[in-house]
Amino acid sequence: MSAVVRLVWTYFTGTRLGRWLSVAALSAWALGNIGVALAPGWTLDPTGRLDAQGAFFVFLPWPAVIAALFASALMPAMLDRMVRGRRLSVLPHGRLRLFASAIGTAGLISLATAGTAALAFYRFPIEIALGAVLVRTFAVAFTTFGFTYLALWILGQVRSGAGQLAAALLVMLSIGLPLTYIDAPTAALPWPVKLGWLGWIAFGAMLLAGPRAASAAAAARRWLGAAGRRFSPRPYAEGTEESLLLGTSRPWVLAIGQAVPVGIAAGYFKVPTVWLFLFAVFSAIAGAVTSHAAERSRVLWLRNGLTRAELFRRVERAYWHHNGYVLAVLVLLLVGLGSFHDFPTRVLALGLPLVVLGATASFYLGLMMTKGLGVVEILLGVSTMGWLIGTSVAAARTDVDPAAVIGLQAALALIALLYRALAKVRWNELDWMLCRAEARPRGRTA
Amino acid sequence: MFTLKPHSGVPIYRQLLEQIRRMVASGQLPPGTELPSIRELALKHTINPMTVSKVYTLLEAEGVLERHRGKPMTVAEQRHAKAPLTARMKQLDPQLDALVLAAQQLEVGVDDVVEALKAKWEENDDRSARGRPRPKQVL
Amino acid sequence: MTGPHVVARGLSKSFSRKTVLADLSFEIEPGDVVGVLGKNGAGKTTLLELILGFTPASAGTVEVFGHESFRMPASVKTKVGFVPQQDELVDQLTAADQIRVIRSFYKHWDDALIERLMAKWEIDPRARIKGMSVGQRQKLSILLALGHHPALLLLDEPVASLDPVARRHFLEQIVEVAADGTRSVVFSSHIVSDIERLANKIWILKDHRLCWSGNFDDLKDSIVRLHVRSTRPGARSWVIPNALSVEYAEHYATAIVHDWSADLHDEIAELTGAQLEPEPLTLEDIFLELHR
Repeated sequence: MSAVVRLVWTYFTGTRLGRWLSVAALSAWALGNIGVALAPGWTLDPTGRLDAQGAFFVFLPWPAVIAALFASALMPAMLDRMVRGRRLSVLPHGRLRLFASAIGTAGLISLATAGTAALAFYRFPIEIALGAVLVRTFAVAFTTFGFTYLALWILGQVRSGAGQLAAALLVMLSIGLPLTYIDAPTAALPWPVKLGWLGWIAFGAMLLAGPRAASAAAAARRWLGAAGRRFSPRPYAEGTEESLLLGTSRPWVLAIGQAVPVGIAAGYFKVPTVWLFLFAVFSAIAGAVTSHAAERSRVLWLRNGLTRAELFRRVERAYWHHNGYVLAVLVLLLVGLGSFHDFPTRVLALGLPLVVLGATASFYLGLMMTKGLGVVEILLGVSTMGWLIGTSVAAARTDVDPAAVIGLQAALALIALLYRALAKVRWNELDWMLCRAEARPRGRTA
Repeated sequence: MFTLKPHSGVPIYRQLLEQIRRMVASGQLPPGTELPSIRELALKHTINPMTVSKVYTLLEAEGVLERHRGKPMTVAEQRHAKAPLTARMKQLDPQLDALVLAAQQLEVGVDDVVEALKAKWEENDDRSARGRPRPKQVL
Repeated sequence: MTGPHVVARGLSKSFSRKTVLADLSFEIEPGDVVGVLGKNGAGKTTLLELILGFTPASAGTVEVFGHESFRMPASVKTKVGFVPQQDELVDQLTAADQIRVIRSFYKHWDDALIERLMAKWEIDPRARIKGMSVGQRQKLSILLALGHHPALLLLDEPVASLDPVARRHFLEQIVEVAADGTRSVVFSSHIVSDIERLANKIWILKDHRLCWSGNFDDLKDSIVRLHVRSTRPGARSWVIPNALSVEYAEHYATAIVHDWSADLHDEIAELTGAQLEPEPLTLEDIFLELHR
C-alpha cells in the first residue's frame, strides 16, 4: 500500500476515537449531501434567511466536516513525532511522502467541504457561478484547516488541562471560519486565506528541507535566545528565584502570543458579539496558567520554611504579577479592536470588566486544581465558561438591559471570590502526590 | 561442546581454536565428527560468525578440519591417532608457566610442588573412578 | 561488485565553534560488526548521524554505498536501517499500526520475520504503544529497522533499556544479520560485554578522534597488561617504553603497554632484565586504561 495512502488512512483510523469519528463523519456527510441533493426545494423567507427545512439540509454536512477534522487529529501528532526524529531521514522519500499525506488529508476534507458547498448553492435559489464556489470554498477550507491542524498541534504540545481547553477553543475558532465565508461569498479572498497558503508553503519548505532546516532553526533559536537575553530583564536577580521556579518569569510570551490569533481573527470578524465571546475565552485562558501552580510550588515549599498558607500567598502574588501583563495586553487589544471596528461604547464599557472578571475567576479556578483535573474541576470550569460566555453575549446585544449584565458580572465577581476561598482551603491540605504529574521528559541515556 | 568466555581477555577466536585443537588431539572429537555450522555455533554462544569462520578456516588450513560438499565442517583423519607427546606437552605450557610463577612467588620449592602434583593426580583419578565431579577448570 | 558499505575520509563535524569530531577515516566492509565505544558526549551519536546523512559534515567526506551520505538517494535508503537512541514511536498507535506505517515506505518487507520476532520477543501487536514498557518500545523500535533487510544496520545504544533476556535475544538477532557475511552492523553501546561478544571491529572515540579503529583481535593483541618481575629490587628505576600507565613495587612493576609485539617484548626484557608476563585485557579494561 502506498506510504501516502497508508499514512492518511492511519491518521483517520489510528486511534479508536478517530475510527469512530471517521465513520460518523463519513456517514453524516453522505446523508447530509443526499439530503441536500434530494430534498424538495426550499425558499427564502421575507428577511432573506432560509426556512427551517432548507437550513437543516444546508448545515447538516458541516458537523461532518468538523468531525472529520477531529477524526484526523492524529495527523499533527504523528507529523510532529516523525519530523523531530531521525528515522525519517532514512525512510525512502520519507519527507516528501509525509508532506503529501498532510496535504492529502487536508485536501480530502476541503474537497468534501467544497463539494457540499457547491451542491448547496446548486439547490439554493440564487444565481451563482458553481465553479467559483467550488474553487473558493476549497481554497478557504484548505488554508483554514491548515490553521486547525496547527491549533491541534498546539493542543498536543500543551500539557496543562486548562491550556488544553484553551487550545481546543482555538481549534473551534479555526473551524468556524469557513462557515462564515460560505454564508457570504465575496469576490476577493480574505487576507487570512492568503496567509494560510503562505503557511502551507512554509511548512512544506521546512519539512522538505529537513536537516538543513533543522540546523538553521537551531541556529535561529540560539540567535533569538541571545537577543532575548539582551532585551529581557536579567533572568536571575535576587528575589526572582520564585518566579523562575513557578514559571512566571516570562509573562511576555503569553501576553504577546495572544495578539496573534486576535490579529488573524480581526480579518474575519467584525461583529461585537463574536469579539466579546472571543475575549471572554481569551481572558479565561489568561487566568488558567495558574493550573500549574500547585505542582510547581512543591519546589518552593521544599526550599523555604513556609507554611502552606504562606506558600499560597506567595504563589498568588507571583502569578498575579505575571497575569498583570497578560491582562493588560488583553485589555489594550480589546480597546484597540473596539475603536478599529467601531464598537458601541456600551460594548466596551461592559466588555472590559468582563475580561478582568473572567481572568480572575479562571485564575482562582486554576489555583484550586490541587488534585489534578477531576470531575469537580471540569464541571466548575465548564459552568464558569458558560456563565462567562452568556454574560459576554448579553453584554454585546443591544436589546439586553445593562443592569442585567452588571448583575451577571457581579455574580461572576462573587464566583471569583468563592473560588479564592476554596483555593485557600485546598492549599492548606495540599498533597503533592495527588497533583497531576507533568509528563516526565524522556531523558537521553548518554 | 565448547566453553567460551568472551570477557576473559583472551580473544574468543583463540579460545575456540585451542579448544578444538585440544579436543581433536586428545581424541574427544574423533575423525568424522561433524562440527556445528558457523551460524549455529555463533548463535549458540552469541558471538560474531566471522570469528567462527576464521577459526574453521585456520583449522582447515592446518588440516585439523576438512570441508565436504554439502556437509558441515568435519574433523579430518589425523595422521597420528593422537598428536605426539611433545605437541601435547606444548599445549600444557600456559598452565605450567602459571604454576611455576605462583610457586616461585610463594617461595615454594620445586620438590614440594612435584609432591603436591602427584597427590592431586591420584586424587583426580580417585574421583573419576568413583564418578564424582571433577574440580573446576582454572583456564 | 560488493565494495565497502561505508567509506569516510577526514570526516569532521563542528557545531558553532565547538568541534565534536575531527578527521575521522574508516571503512565498513560487508560482514563487519562494528562496536563504537566512547564516553558520554564523545560524539557517538553524531558519528552515526553523519553516516546516516542526517547532518552534513563540516569537513571531509562520508559515502554510503558509493553515495555521499547527506544526499542519500531513495534507492540507497532502502538498504539502510537505523535504530535511534530515543524511540520515535507514535504513542497513540498500536504496535501493528506502527509497523504498517513504516512498512509502507518500503517495497520489500519480510512479514514472516517480523511476525516471528514479535512472538519471540513477546510484543503484542494489538498493544497500544503508549502503554508499553520502555523495554517493549525499544524492542519494537529495533524491529522496525529489521523488516526491510537492510544491508547496513546502524544502532544507537539499542539495548540501554533492555533486561538481560531481551538483550540476549537482540544479540542473537545481530548474529543472524551478520551470519551471511554480506550485511554490516554498527552499534554503539555502553554495555561493553555485548560489544565484546559480537564486534569484529572496534571504534573508540576519544578527544574527538578515533583513537582505535580496527580489528578487535588486533586491539586485544596490541594493548596488554605487562607484569614485569625481577628477583632483584630496583623496579622503580625501570622506564618502560610504550606504557600508558605503570605501577611500581620493589620487585616488580605492572604496566599497560600499547603496540605490543615480540620486538617490544625483547626491548623491555633487555631494559629491565626481568621476567615478563603479558596478560590480555578485557575490552572494558582497555577502554578504562585508554581513558586514565
